[in-house]
Amino acid sequence: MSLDTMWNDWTYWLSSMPPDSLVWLLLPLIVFDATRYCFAALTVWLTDVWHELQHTSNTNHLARSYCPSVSLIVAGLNEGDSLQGTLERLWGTYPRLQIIIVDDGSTDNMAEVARAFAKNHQGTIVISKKRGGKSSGMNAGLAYATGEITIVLDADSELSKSAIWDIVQPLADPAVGAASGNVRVRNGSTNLVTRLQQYEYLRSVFLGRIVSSRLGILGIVSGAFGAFRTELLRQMGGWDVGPGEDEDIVLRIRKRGLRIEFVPQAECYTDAPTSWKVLTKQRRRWEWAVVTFESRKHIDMANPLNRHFRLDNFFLFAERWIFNLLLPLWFWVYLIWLFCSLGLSGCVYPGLLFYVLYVLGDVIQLLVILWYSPHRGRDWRCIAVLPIMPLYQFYQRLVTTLAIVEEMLSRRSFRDGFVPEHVRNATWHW
Amino acid sequence: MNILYIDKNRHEARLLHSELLGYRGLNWNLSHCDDYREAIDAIEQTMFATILFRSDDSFDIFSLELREILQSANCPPVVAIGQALNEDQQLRLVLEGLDECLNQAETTGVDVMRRLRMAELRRSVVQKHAAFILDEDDETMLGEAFLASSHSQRFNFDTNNPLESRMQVAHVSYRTPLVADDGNDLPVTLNAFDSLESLLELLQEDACRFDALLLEQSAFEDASGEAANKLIRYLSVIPSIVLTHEKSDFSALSYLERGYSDCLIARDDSANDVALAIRKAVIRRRRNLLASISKQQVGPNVNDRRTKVRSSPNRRRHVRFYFQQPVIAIPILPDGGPDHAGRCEATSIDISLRGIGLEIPNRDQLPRRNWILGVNQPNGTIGYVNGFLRRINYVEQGMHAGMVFQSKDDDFFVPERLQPRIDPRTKQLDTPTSSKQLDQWAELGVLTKYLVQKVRTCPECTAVCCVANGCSQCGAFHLQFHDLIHHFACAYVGPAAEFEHHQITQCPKCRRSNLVVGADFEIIRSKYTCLSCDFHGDVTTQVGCCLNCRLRFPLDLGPEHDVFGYDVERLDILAVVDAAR
Repeated sequence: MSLDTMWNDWTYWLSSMPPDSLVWLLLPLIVFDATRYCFAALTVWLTDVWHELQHTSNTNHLARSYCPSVSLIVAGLNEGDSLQGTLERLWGTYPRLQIIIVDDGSTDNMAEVARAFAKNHQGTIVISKKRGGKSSGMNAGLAYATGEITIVLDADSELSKSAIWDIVQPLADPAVGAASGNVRVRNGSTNLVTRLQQYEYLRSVFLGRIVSSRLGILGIVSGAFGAFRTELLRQMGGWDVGPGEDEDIVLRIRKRGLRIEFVPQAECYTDAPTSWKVLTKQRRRWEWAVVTFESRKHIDMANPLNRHFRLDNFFLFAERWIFNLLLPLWFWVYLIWLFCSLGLSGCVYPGLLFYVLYVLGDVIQLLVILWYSPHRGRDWRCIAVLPIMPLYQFYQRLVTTLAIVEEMLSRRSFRDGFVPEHVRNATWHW
Repeated sequence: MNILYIDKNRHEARLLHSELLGYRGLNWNLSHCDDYREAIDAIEQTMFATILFRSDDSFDIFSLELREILQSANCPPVVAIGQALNEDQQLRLVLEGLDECLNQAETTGVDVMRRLRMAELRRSVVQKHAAFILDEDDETMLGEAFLASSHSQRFNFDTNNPLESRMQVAHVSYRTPLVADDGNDLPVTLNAFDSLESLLELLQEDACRFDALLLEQSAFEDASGEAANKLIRYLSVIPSIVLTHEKSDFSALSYLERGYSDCLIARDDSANDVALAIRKAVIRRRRNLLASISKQQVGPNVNDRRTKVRSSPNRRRHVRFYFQQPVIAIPILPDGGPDHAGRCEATSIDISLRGIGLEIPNRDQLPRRNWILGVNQPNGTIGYVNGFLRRINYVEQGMHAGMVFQSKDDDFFVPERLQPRIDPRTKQLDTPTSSKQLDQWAELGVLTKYLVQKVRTCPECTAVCCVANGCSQCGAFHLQFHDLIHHFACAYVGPAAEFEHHQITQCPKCRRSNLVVGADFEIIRSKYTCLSCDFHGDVTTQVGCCLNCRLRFPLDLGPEHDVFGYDVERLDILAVVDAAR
């Protein structure tokens, strides 16, 4: 079958579809994916365009008038190779900066690198401890933090020149408990895996969090780069045991009625996994956290009878439950139903339709991203991966489903090596 | 009175014994030994009141044998009779511990017995005076008793010069071998007093004004009992000799009982007798004084070797044994190095626990005082010992040298000299003796050199430094460490004090209590605060602080030095002597 024939057949099939059948066929996409990603992004974009036209927008024009003292915690394990560059680049970017480097039981030269840096950079504290997990590392750093604001940064990440200035600005508002930085992929050009992640980060971290933040349902501050009120962290006792400690701390802050802000200008470049295996492992951890925290540990936030209940928290939870728990599961049910009702050959044309619509949706999102992005010249290149993004999303759905199932059935997250065994055994298995 | 009489000549012994039998004033018993070594054993086993030692040998042998007797344990006072001893020799023997020394030609049996009794009294009186406290109430009674026991007959007493009519002693001189001016004759100046009271007035001003007191017995008769009593107080300070014209020894012994050093009777009224008595008394006094200083271990003469020898009355004698072995003898130069030119192969003659006799081949130059001697030991090794040259006799083949093993304090091989020590002045870790000299000894095979340790020293003055963990910023030692606790369950990390809650360990975050270290939490000692520069860090730096110039420096800047120690195969003297026995 030639492509022309196939194209003719598909257009014929599409034109011959009754509108109600077509709506039913596309209903899941229209209701969930398109609503979540395209419609929300378009709505926010249109709002900003409206404000732009009215000259009332303040987007991209952060006034850097707030200059609190900042303690920057860099906790890592075996990050000797990347630590030096990270520290050198951020040194001197903020006037009232205390750097706390926590070596969480590294077996490489991370501690030596940190000490060498501390020797030449006054005000830098190095803490070496036995491995206790990232949370304990950050909490150890918190014990020595003297700044009003505590920023956490991954050792393999790189900040833009004004990232610290930008990320602390929302915290001038006492109602804001934490601010999330804009995490971007540094090694985007390494291979297909990183190129796909580069666009994914733009879509879900950059654009997704702009939307979530506008809607007031931002439920995560990246562990790679986020800012918190030090006193608030101390009152809460710091981070709980991970994995997913970055999401957990944000939910705990939200419980206290404080807002979380996303600062797209505060850019942090991090290294994304370069292999499918590592990527799968990372994404499983991320998805476990949804089950552990939104469905178990902090379920009280969505309970109208609980004192922690607030409507924005409920929407946050509802969004997570629907898009991170139900939809992946429903996706497979829908797929099976499609196969059963249309057969394998009958699924080809609907599949092509979905593919085209997903690519179209990504194009729209990329256009919105380019509207907001300060690096348009670089970000538009992501258009190259858009044709295969639907397949990548299919892979993501697979991994998410696997993670949800294993976490729901066996609490897999508490057997993961992200946290050392003696800590895993001692902590609560939510 | 139990007397031990030592005399090799049995015939002379019998003669003296028969002479002594004529002495009726005392119940006495005389035991005779014809070998001085047997006598030494007898002295150690039996308590004698006095010893009478008579010998016809030369002064060297006479004094050698006498010295061994004096060094035996619990040796009683010894009175020696020599064949022809001059005054110097007599005084030297008195200095070495002899109580009285007489010449046979001038001595009768009665004189000997009197001297023996006086010697015994002297010893007992000295011991009494050591603890004698004069009771004010008894002063008069003592004085009266003194007067009652004194002789009534007067000397020819002249108030202007009590000695003038009787003898001329102004030209008498004496020598004091122990003092620095040894060898110089000191003239005796006699100061005359017409009464005991005028003498006492001067003594009250300065008790050490006179070297000796020469008292006519008639002076006591003119004086009051109180004055005589007061004089007794000064007898322990000034040696006092009483002159009587009594022919019997009753009066003389009574003076000795009161603490007077000596008493001359009518038979001893020549100027030489008086002068010799004065000199002996002075030397006795000096000897006792040195002995008492040595016992107290204070004063400038503590390290005087001769004092020490005499200060140990319980010292055992050291019998010499025939011992002929090749001995490596290496003289020690004044700087502590070996005298390569003086090194020689000697042959031992005899050995005792105290020293060794050597026959050294003919040598042109004068021998040095300090020697290292390498002696074959019974186990086949060569043991080294430090000895000093005590006596030399030049013979045809060379010389016979008497070496005395150095005491522990003076021993060249004492471990304190061979092991590295910190010099209190320069604070440098090195051997007290120059390592250059010790290396020379090591090259000769006497010492074994070995590496003790490697030390970091001050880069400025090479003194040793103390090393401590200091601030990595400023090097200060004044640090405050902060212990943190990491609670595993909730990942909380906080100061240890936060976990103390009503004497139980409770996490301040999750309130879980009764936490067990290791299972529930760990202690992170991760950070310190420098109290000098307020620097915060987690890893301290090893900082060296010079003990001498106080310079602080990172330890890796301090040069590393090898510190060597030296060891010596010491001569097992006991084993060698035992083998020689």
